[in-house]
Amino acid sequence: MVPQRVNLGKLVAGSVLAGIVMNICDYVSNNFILATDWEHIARIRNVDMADMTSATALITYITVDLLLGFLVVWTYAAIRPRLGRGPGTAVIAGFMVFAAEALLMASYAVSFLTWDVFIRGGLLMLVTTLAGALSGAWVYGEEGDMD
Amino acid sequence: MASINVGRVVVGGLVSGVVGNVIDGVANNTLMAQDMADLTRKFGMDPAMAQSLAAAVPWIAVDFIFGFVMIFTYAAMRPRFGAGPKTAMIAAFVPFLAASVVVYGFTSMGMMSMAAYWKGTIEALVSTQVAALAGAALYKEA
Repeated sequence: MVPQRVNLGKLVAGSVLAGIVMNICDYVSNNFILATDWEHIARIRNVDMADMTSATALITYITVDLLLGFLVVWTYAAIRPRLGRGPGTAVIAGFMVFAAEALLMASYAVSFLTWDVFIRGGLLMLVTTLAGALSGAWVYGEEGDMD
Repeated sequence: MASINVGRVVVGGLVSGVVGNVIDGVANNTLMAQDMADLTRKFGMDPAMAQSLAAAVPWIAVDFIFGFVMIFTYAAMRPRFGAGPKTAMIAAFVPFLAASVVVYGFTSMGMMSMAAYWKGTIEALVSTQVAALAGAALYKEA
């Protein structure tokens, strides 16, 4: 049996929702839960806090989360024929994206970040990515799906 | 639908990790050497510590885990896109894009220059694509 193509319309809708959810989670994480951690990182790594909180940086963070939202829903769509539809597969897709993000952060934990910021930030990143994956996958569907 | 062949994911992931480490090791010590030195200085790190095994271990481990993630992704995507190098290259884009956009976020925070970011990103694209192709060549369904 030849699998169906990815449903582009639902992919876009799911990606937008996932991106919005991830932006909300990251806003809360970075501006409230991790706020003092980022101030500490800026101080010890010679980074200007004005650069971290500028309009350009804000646009970048929003775009990054929209791209990650797309990636997580696209991954979900790509692995559905193998692993089946539903929240279990959405969580696996979220983990595939999260693993790369967390590994990258871990490799900077000895230089740009610190290990405690990495652990706190990583846990929040996991919550953000899974929330994005589950919400995007909830919207994504293909012809023949039974509700 | 056959389940994923875990043994082959492990073998393919190991090969992928070795290939990724070789490419990254060469690139970081030649093409990216000056950028790495600049980052060490900017972060106020001891250059000897930055060159130490303790600093290298996370990067080496990351390439191996990236290898497993890419080959698992390849195996999971095969029923949708078919077996072969094209699907391996698509699978490599998942960790590459996820990592690249996070570093882009760090770059916009002032972690490194945009020139260094793009140089590193192109190197990572080559590294992940070659590593995924090498690992996926060994993956077979049970």
